[in-house]
Amino acid sequence: MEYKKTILIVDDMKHIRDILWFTLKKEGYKPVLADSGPEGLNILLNEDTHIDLVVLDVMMPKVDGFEVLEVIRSHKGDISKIPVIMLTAKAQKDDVVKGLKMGASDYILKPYKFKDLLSKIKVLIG
Amino acid sequence: MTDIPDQTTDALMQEQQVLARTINSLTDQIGLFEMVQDLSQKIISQFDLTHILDTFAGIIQEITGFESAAIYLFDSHGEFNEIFSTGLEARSIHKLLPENSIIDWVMAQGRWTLLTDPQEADNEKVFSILPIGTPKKKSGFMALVTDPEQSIYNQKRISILSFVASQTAIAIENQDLYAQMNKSSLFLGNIVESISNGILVTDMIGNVTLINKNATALLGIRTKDIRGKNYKDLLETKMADEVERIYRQIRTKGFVVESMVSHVPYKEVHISIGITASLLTDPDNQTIGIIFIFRDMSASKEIERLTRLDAMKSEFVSNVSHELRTPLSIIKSYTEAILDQVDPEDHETRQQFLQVIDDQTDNLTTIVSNLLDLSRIEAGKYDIEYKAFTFRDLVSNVIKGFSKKLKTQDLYVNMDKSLPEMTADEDRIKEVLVNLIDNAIKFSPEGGIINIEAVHKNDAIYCSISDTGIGIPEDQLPRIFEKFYRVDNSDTYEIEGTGLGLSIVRHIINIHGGKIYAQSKYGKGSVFTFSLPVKRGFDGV
Repeated sequence: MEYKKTILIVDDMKHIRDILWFTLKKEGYKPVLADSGPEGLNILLNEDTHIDLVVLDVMMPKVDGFEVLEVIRSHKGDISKIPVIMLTAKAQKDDVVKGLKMGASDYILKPYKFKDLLSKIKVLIG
Repeated sequence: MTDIPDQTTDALMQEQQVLARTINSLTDQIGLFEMVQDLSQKIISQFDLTHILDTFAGIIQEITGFESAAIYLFDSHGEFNEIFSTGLEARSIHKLLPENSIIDWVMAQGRWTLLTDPQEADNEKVFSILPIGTPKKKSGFMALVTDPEQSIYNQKRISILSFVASQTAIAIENQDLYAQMNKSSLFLGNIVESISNGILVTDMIGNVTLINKNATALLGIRTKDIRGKNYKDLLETKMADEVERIYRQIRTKGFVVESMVSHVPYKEVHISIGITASLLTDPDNQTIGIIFIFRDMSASKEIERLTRLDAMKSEFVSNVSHELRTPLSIIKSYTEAILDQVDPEDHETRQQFLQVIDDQTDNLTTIVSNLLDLSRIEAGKYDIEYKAFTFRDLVSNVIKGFSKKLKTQDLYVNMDKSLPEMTADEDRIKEVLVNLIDNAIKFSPEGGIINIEAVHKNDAIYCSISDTGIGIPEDQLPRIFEKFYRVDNSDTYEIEGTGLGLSIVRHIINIHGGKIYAQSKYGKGSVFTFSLPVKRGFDGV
């Protein structure tokens, strides 16, 4: 069986998680879902799951996307090198700049075109 | 030898005589100088120009025995004006004045000068001029008319007169400075009065030395003639206690002390006053009193409120942007998926996705209509259309609409059977119910019980909607009806909203003449109760 690249989706909105799961699966990826920052980190740090890319929402309660990104990038092991696409409804430039400075691989603004997200994912992990 | 004693005696006698004369003359002069000094002291101690000139003229009269005299003073342009005159012929003295060049010459001499030779005067009067001034400054001169018989003009008198005139000049100058000082203290007084803060200055034992009108108004002081009275006798007890506390503090600490006190200067007027106190020192750094500044904090509170509103507005813009983009991005993603990826034969998925799009469109509509309502309220164009309807039916209809939304929550309704028909804007009241019930569901994410009760009392319907949801922290409860305000519970739950719903609800209730209030226990649940008059135009429920 062909190896499927695994994409972790971290978003507190169920509808967003659901549609990303549906569409990414259709494109031949293996989506994994997390409804909060801590849960996303749990999945990432679990040695049994290999994650190829993270789609990370910025505006989330308790732990926001920036905090999750910080943990990922400061990790001692390979996890720190995982490509991360920030997904944000915040159109403010500051947030985009902040995300990129913190080591986000790319960003996409809500509402987004799925094709745009897909092409960014393809550039990063094929 | 006998000659010698004679000669010696003679010489001694002569010397003795000279000595006696000198002593006499000296005693005379000392007496005169003492008198003059005494009088000029009188002049110097005057601060009123008329008094100075009066005293001066009296002394000169004493020394010269003039019949009439007039005093002229130079103004700032160097012109002289008659300021004072005395004697029978005083009115005609100005006719006797010589031309200006002669006056200038006398002024330059700086001493008493006769302009008529007493020898040639025959029975005419003797006219003389006494310059008034110091070597540095010429203030003016005195013109004197003297009887030739009475005229005593000698060197000694000239110097005495010059001395008196110079003392007078100094007194005039002092009085001028005093007048200026008076003016500037009046000027400062006006500034102190026009400051919108209350200013109270006391000496070290608490007696008032200065107070402005705003202080009497702010502190509610009704006593007249406040100056010199002790603050304890002027202020109402609570304020007096606070001032006393500041007194003790400032005397031990010795620097600025700040304090806040809520205060009732007049019946039912509650104001909170900020007090700043600092020590007052004289130029030698000696403490001479305490200055209290009283500020009405209501104004600062208003600014604080506006600043807060401004911050809420910008937060609102970012909220609205997030709230609009979230449903939009969901709608877009699901539509794209249906168009591009969902198998046309997969009806179930299509149906599911279309349902999401439909719900999110409703969500967007609510947000947009809330925004529109708010802008209408702000513009004063929020109209009410009255019509008769039954509250029971309205509630039932609204609840039907929620049946799909109720997942884990139970909803109970308990309404008076006797609820009368009411006249109000049915659509707006529906909006109120939808909003409150929607909140009750939204804020009970873990499930729970929602209760709707309605009773008829005093020509009004009282309706309460309670939930067993997450509740509202006590400190935030008073603010939930403010527009843009959102309860800060983002660390526990992420619940969508624009912070507009409740402010619109309150507006609707208020324009119907009703009231709404909320009770809540954080973590336990909330109760929203509103009243609505049954009949239109019935106010004050």
